[in-house]
Amino acid sequence: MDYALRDFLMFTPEVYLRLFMRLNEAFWPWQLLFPFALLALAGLLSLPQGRARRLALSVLGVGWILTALLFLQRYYEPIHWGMAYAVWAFLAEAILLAVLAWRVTPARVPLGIGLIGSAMVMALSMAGAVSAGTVEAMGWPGLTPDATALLTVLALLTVPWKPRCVLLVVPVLWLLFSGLTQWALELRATLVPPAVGLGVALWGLWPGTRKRPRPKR
Amino acid sequence: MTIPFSRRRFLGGLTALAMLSHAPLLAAQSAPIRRPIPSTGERLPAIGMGTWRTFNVGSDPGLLDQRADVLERFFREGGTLVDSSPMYGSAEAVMGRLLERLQREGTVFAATKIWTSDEGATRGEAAHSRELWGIDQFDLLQVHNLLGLDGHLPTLRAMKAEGQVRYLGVTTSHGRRHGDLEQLMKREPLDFVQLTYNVLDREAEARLLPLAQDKGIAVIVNRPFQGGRLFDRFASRPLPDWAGEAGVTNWAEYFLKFIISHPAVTCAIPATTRVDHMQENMGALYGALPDPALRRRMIDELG
Ligand SMILES: NC(=O)c1ccc[n+]([C@@H]2O[C@H](COP(=O)([O-])OP(=O)(O)OC[C@H]3O[C@@H](n4cnc5c(N)ncnc54)[C@H](OP(=O)(O)O)[C@@H]3O)[C@@H](O)[C@H]2O)c1
Repeated sequence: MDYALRDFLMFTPEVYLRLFMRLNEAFWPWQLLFPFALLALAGLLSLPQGRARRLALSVLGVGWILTALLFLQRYYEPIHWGMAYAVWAFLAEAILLAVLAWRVTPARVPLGIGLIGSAMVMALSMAGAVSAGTVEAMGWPGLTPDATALLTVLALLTVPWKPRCVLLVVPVLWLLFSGLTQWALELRATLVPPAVGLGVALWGLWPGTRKRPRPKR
Repeated sequence: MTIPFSRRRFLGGLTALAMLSHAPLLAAQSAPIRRPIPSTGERLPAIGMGTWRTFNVGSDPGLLDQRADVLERFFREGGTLVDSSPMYGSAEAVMGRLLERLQREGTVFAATKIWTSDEGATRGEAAHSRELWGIDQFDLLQVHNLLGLDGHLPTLRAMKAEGQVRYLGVTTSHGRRHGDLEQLMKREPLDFVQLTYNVLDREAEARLLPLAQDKGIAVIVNRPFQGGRLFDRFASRPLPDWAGEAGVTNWAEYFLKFIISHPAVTCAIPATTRVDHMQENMGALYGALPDPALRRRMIDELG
């Protein structure tokens, strides 16, 4: 009588995907602002002023707070008692991002690269919609955890290696947990954002990326 | 003397005739298979239901409506025992909402678990679960996976003496800790044990089931479908042509009747999210059961 990963699953795929649908229904139409926030992030990170680029990190922190209090606490926690801990971890990440914004200036990213990154995150946010067969199940960055973690992992490539490693702990743990969850739920499309996020994080943690990028103050 | 005759009476007579021709079927259908709980003799329908995964739907209005239909079908088909646990996310809260909505608080045989390593938290956790279920008293409280057993069991015994719970028990699953369970069954007076047993996972047959019979302990069987895997593996096959002799008309009945035909088993608790599956599962509560020779054949067929 062996355990399989799916024996640890507490809910069905339908219940999981409906979390996103219910959040989107309740939050409508505010999520339409989020693509603009992504563009703003790309814009801020491309500016020569260090203050603007630091602001980008704080904006990301707001996304972690919204995700913790809306998606995780209100929707996910009732069906998964482990989310009580995740809420704290997400709030801690928001605080870390605020501290980082105060202490470190991210490297400048050419606008084109930033826009490509934003477009990639938006495209991957559609994964839930693909799995559920309806756009209502989309997982917006800044509002739902996988897309928020993915966006953060990308943004953290702009900060020096040491603080990057610290800030990557929560996103990486989340993406691992979420990836295993999608795997057990046998949801293929929603597996992609955690997989991409973990790939990018792994690259970002690689000591070879240590020297780059050099923050410009 | 004129005999009063109306169209209604004529149709009524026809219906009665039709019912007579189905009499054996109806008799079988109207008598659910029940098993006595050894410690009291109270008879329990041999099919109950589990709630792991299936009833953890949070406050989703659409899914609550759908699960209400599943639960109502369970009760309408003669089921009573519902098994849950604080470990199952929102399942207990969902059960409370649905029992109230369906006004079935009086029908249910409410079984939940104590699931905490804090051995002093037994009463607190039971009270919280009672609140979630919206009932005055649990019929059965079980120590989940033997966790915190040494602290919980004496408290549960005290609660039973005070009339706060009717029966007490312990659970295991996936064949884990059968040795510990065996020692416990030998040592402690338990009303119920819950363990995994199905047509493929039959470890319990060797010692635990005979011991339960010997000690007069009721047995609840979890994971009767191996968490659904039995359907994945076998449901595409046609039923063997002797299935009718075992009282079996579909694979759900095959798996469940195999379990409840073991003389030590009191009740199996399959879980489902679907009304049609619930209907199939509850079919196992009626009709003939396989005898020992057919049980052997049921194993060999899938072996
Ligand atoms: N340690 C413990 O105390 C412990 C451990 C494990 C389980 N349990 C208890 O035992 C209960 C049962 O175990 P379980 O839920 O793990 O597994 P199970 O009842 O063996 O299998 C449930 C699965 O079978 C499928 N199913 C049910 N009826 C079906 C049908 N007629 N046709 C096709 N598929 C069907 C369900 O899918 P659909 O939703 O699609 O029908 C579900 O995925 C649990 O809910 C829980 O209450 C206790």
